[in-house]
Amino acid sequence: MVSAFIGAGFTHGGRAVLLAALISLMTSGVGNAATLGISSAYLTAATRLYGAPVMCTLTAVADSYVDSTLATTNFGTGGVLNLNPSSVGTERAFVRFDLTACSPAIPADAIVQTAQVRLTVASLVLATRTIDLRRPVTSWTEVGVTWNTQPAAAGSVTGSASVTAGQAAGTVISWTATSDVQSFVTAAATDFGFRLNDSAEGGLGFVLSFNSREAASGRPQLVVTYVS
Amino acid sequence: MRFFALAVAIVAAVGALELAAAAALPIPATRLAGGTAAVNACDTDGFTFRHAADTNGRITSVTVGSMASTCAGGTLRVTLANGTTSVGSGTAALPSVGFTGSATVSMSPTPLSSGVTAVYAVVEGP
Repeated sequence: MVSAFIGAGFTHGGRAVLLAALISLMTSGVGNAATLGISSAYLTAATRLYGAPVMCTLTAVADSYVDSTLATTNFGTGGVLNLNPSSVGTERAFVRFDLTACSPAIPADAIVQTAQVRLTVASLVLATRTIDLRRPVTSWTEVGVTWNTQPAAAGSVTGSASVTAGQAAGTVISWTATSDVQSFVTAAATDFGFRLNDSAEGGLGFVLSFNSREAASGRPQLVVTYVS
Repeated sequence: MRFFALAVAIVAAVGALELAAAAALPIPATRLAGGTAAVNACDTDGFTFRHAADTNGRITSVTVGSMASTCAGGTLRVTLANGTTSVGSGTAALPSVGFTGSATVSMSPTPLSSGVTAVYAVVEGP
């Protein structure tokens, strides 16, 4: 038996059009006869063609940090986001963006080509560290989140970035968040923003400060490039 | 040993949404038989597509939705393309029973999302 896919045609916008025929060419092997027949009960094709990439830059709509030694204190209105690996004062930051604010809106069937969370260093970096970006799995609020109420985060790290001792205030640090943003767009995961924490919490450490959205400049950003 | 030559030319002229016909064309040896035949579509109002990416920005799977129940039992083939070049593809069997109208197809290889300009899906009936 020989099968041949003869043709398929498509239209824009995901609309399906039947434009194909699957032909099975069956030769009997006996004598010199052959039969040509259709082997499929149905055949349907659809396509989605994507246009030029669109870049959307969003500023955080909520951010805060939490501190294990001030476990019931909220820092949501402060001008910085602190991170600290220290076991006597662990600090983690949370930041959230409104993806629906992109214009044009990101459709659910878009392909997110890149997504980067960008934070700006607020003061001189004192120690070289690796900072992990994770996806919270429950909600939090800017003026409510504390160490004791912080949401759990996804087990897997979305992206990591290094900060280097000596980096000055104003340095922009980026984390790749393409996979999470893609899942937010498709609603495969709920968008609770991101959590940032030192990759090796415990022991001793220095505070690492980034500008928060309340800062005069260098606010947290999410830069998304997508096609739709 | 028996030799015979068989040449088949097929012209599929397709200009309508649906064409329906069954074909069984006996082909005498040494002759050429041609014809057109088409099958029904199991869905005529389009599919939806949802992509999943890994942390390296590679598309790992495509979920095709809004498939009509008449597509149940078929085979779904999805191809990701960059222009006219296939950069990833996969196949999923649509269950005959309990079909929800949606199916996720794992891609192999997994292309970078920045290198995908189109997604194609075909459902072939049983």
